[in-house]
Amino acid sequence: MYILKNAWTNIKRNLGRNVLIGIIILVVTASSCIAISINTSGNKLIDSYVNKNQLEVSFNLDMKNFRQDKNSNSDTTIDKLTVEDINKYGDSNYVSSYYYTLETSLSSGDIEAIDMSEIFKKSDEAPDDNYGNKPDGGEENHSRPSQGDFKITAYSDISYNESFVEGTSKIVDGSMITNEDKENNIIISEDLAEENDLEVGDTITLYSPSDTSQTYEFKIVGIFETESNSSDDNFMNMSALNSQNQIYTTVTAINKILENDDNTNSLNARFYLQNSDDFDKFEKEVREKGLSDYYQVSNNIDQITATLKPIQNISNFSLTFLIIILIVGAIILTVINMLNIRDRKYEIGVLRSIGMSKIKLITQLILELFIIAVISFIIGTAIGYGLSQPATDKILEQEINSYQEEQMKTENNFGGKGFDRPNRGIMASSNYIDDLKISFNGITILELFGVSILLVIVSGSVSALFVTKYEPNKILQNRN
Amino acid sequence: MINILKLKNVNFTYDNERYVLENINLEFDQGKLYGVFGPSGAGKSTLLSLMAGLEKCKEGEILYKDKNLSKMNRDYYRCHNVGIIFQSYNLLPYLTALENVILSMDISGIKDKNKEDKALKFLKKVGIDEDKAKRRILTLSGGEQQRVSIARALAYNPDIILADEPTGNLDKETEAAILNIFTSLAHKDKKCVIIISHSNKVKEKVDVVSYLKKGKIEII
Repeated sequence: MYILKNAWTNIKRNLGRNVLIGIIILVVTASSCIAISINTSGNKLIDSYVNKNQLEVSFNLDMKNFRQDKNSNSDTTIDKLTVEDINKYGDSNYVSSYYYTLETSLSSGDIEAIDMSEIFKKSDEAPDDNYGNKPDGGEENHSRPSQGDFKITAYSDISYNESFVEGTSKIVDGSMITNEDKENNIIISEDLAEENDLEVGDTITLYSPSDTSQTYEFKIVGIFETESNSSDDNFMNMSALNSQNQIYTTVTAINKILENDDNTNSLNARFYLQNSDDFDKFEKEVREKGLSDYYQVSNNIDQITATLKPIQNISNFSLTFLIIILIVGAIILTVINMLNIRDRKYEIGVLRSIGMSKIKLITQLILELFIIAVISFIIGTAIGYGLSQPATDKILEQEINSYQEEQMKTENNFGGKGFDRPNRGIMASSNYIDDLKISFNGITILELFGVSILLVIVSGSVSALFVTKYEPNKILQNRN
Repeated sequence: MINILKLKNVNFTYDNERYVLENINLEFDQGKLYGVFGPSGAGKSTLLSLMAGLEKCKEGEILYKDKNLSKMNRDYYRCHNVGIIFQSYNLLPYLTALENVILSMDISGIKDKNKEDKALKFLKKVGIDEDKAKRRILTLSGGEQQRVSIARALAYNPDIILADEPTGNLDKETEAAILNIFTSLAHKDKKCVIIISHSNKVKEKVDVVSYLKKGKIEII
């Protein structure tokens, strides 16, 4: 009890120095409060956002790895993924849902594909459509696979069709093909319909670009408008890549095409995991089920977190800031404490000479710091709590502004808007999450208290070291 | 007479090269006033430090009630069994005289509700009234500070009182008064009082005289 009384007496006695120590702990606590709040709330938001947006897993060919093996062994081949494989991998406890798309391309003599090169009046020097396989006898480039004018895509579950989900495409006439549809039904773009005077209920005939004798009849059940008509849709004058020449059909219909010619098909699958933390376990499972090492298993975590980039940045920054403030605070406090102990050398000598044990003396010195730290902790936490939200809003605003400025600079380099990279929509500035609600709970307070205690321990250990080193007799003899 | 403190073949060196104390053999009884005299540098203060438990005896033995001091908790010994009075008083200047005495009682673990009254009684015994007892140390004279220092040493009722040049900074009148207190403590209160000094006045008052020269006891 007398130790507490002594500690309090000493705090009052050295008020100036102790107020200085208190201010340092207060600043460290308030800053730590802001940093911990930002970090905790930011991480919580990122976690909930990642969980809300289920992790999407896809398989991509690892061509680098394949080429290396191919160079050493020319017999190396890759087993093509099949629908059966996808169903096998999808049948996993880690997967909440999955879908696949089958794609091929077809050409037509009845209808004309939308050709962007005509719209943009390309220059005479521009290369011809070397990769298209013109039905009227256009030169065929044998170094490339045969490419039709229309891209035919079928979704195992049409509700996953990204362009309709994101709203870049929309049914304007007729109806959407359904998952249960077993007919050769298709939906086509509004531009393609207008260009060729097609309506819902009309039938068109398409044929395989590699074998013109293979023809397929399709019935138009719906017409959609599409916003996706950016300039790169007509990349290398490949009409099939133009979103207006995109045709969606049923899995049954596309399977009929692939039965005859599966060279041109491409199979893509997306798996949505129950929990984003299960990614590694899922990868292990699909490898065990036979997925070739030439396929990389990748996820869209970067895409999901792209909108959270400013929050992630300030969250990381807050952690760095916390570490710096703790180190600086601990150094300053330690130095002050060292000077403090040197000043109190005589007092230490007297107390030790009249029988106060080292442990009790160290306890008293640490208790003095602890009392100051508790008072500063209460005030610092209150200040930090009050400043956390405005500080977060300000930092987040600055962070988003810097991203927008960077984006504007890029756009200006291209001469204005409209040159945003494709598939970057989710990263566009308008999508950045600009609201981070600071949560302040018991854990935050405990963490802050831990910070204060850490400072007391670090700087208090200096007292302990000095007290252990000082011999009362020597202190008093030197003074005398 | 009960033998309370015994030094057996005590040697002491600070630097492991030169002995400050050599082959010291001394015995101290309760109820007697002892004086250890000698010139400056003879090793008097070192001897007091060893007997007070401020330094550890490296060769030989110091026995308190037949218990080896080296094996005892010397902090406990200092706040229970021995009261030390320093030439420069070594009081805490930011406390009052009363608080200094109470602090000493607190350190020794005395759990008495009337600590203040007891401390005032000790102070009164050495000639410090209540008014002066409640004054800060630095507002008191040298003699008064030495009295407070004695009161502090008596606060936990130790068996041994060790005083290092207790009258060195005092005028003749005060010196005499302080020596009377020591005599009373030894003869009336049956304490073992050991005074380190080179004052002739002290030599006249003590019951047993020891003379220390170049770290050796020469005359008893």
